[in-house]
Amino acid sequence: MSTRILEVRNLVTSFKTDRGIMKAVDGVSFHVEKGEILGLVGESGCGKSVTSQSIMRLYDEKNLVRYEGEVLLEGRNLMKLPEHEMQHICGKEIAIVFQDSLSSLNPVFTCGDQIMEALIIHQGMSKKEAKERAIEMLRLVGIPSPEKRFNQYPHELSGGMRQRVMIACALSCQPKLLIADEPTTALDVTIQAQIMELIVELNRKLQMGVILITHDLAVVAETCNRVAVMYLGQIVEEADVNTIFDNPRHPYTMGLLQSIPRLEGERARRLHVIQGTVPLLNQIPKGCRFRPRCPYAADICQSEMPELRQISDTQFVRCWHVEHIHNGR
Amino acid sequence: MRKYIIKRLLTLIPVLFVVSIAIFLLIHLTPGNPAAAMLGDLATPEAIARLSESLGFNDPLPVQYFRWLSGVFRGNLGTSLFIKGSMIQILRNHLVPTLQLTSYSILIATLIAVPLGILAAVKRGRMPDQVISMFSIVGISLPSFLLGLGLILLLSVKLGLLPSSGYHPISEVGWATHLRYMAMPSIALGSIEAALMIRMTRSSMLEILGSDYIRMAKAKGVPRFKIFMKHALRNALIGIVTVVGLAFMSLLAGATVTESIFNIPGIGKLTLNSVMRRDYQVIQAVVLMVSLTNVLITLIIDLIYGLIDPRVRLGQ
Ligand SMILES: Nc1ncnc2c1ncn2[C@@H]1O[C@H](COP(=O)(O)OP(=O)(O)OP(=O)(O)O)[C@@H](O)[C@H]1O
Ligand code: SF4
Ligand SMILES: [Mg+2]
Repeated sequence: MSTRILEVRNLVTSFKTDRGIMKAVDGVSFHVEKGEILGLVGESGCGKSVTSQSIMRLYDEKNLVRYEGEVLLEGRNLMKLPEHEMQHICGKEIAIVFQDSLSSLNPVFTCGDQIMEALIIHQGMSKKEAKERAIEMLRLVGIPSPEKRFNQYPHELSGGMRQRVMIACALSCQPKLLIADEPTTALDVTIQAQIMELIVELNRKLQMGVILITHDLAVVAETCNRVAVMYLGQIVEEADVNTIFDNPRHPYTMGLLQSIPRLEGERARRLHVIQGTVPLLNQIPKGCRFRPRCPYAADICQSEMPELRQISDTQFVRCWHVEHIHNGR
Repeated sequence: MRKYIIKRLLTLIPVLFVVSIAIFLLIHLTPGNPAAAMLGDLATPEAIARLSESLGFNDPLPVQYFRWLSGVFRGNLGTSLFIKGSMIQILRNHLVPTLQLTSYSILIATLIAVPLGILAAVKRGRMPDQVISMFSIVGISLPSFLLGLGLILLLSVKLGLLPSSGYHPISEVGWATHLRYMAMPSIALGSIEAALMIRMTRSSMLEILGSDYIRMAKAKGVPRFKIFMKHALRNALIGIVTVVGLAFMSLLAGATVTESIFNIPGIGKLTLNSVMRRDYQVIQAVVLMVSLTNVLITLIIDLIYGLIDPRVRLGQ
């Protein structure tokens, strides 16, 4: 237990929207060990970003969302913390790299300013110390001529450079947990590889736990220790990385795996081979949420929702027919 | 920044060219002989011919255009059929009261609207937001003359606090009296403008508060107050400057109704009177002036954008 950095129990995130309450995340539980990389995968819109941002309680609780469940950071329930204590956790203990680097950096401040901010807040550094450290961070994440980049604005940098600035921001205070939300989507392949290498290296060096959200199963296979597969706001399968690839048991996971191109060297870009599309949040089917798209669906799938069940030491599956379904690959 | 300013100035040239043609055509687009239109229904053909000749309406259009344009460059904007003095003089006399009324109202509007708009956004959906939104809807739908008349009834007729109408220049009566006379029209106009500005400020602030970079700031552990004051406000300023600039433009063209109710001899009243007596040359000069000031204000707004937003300054 002592090595467990993060434990999420029954997390529910509901948005209050014009069309009513939308449960974007519905009863998600998982954990991250020290020095471990947990992959979080699933099609677009299944709640990966919402899950990760809910862990840090980033959505406006007064107007926009309601959270339920527990998020334990080394045993401390973050959901119960008052706002000012949460401020000491965010950026210091847990840091996040957002999906879209252009919209996530403030356009009117320089990159340097935005990296220094966390250092000044959490480490009590003076401006001068923070600047030195920020430049050091820029160098660490592989940005050439960091002194120059320090004074540039986000829109002046390329997507890859901006993503690195975000990583520098996130890592500046050496967090215990890093959440990387598709840190490499939209970047070209070599830069993707460099950034992933950097994250893995820091994960080993600092024994930092990582939640890696990605569409790219090849990246998952190379970097993650364990994988959680999400579908429509729920985890449908969780297992160590080898089991997920060699012995997936949920029809959705199998579908995802089948959509990986088999040709050597060609990478999976978007996963859309599974028939049908993800339903909207206000049209969630009764019973098993994957039923309308599932080739194995039976009567019980329509009437009752399966629970996430443990089927071996390391594998959890949310499906009525685990016993009958075998890897169709 | 210098490069940006120069670029911005260069783009003005085609704009001004188009504007000048449009204004010139203003007179010539009136159906029939413009001289006849000016003189009205009872004019004799001889009088019309004489006026046409003296104003050069018989020459080909391009000749007239260049004559007019070169006149404009030399400060000759034509002559009024009814008001004595040079056109520049006439414009200046009427522009001063309008400029004062505009400045005071915008000042009042900004002081009311920006804090309230931000407050409404921050407290979205809750009591303060609902109250503020209600007031702003009332303000938007309220005709300005009604508010003006209401204020006169209350503050001047009932309470006797302020003079009901009239304009007195600072040079003649000093600041105190001048402001006493300007107070009511400025409040009337300022409140209406404020109503609109509140809505724009609120929505631009709301958009910013829901943006990724605000959540990113929160994710770095930036305290709430600082998120508002540093991360959000700077971005919101871009929208606020736009709103203030637009308000300025619309008021400078003359708040005709307000100027009439409070009897302020501004551009609005000049336009109204000139339209009624078909004093086309004055109308043309007013439109020219309003267009030029609008171009100028747009330029100023753009320069302020450049100061606030590096994306504008560094150019894309
Ligand atoms: N602020 C919000 N208000 C209302 N609904 C939201 C909000 N943010 C996200 N959602 C909804 O929550 C669901 C999950 O979105 P989320 O961004 O977590 O998906 P994702 O798995 O990260 O997808 P992607 O791979 O495209 O990033 C979506 O249906 C989305 O419409
Ligand atoms: S429970 Fe039924 S519908 Fe759902 S995944 Fe399993 S077999 Fe398919
Ligand atoms: Mg996402």
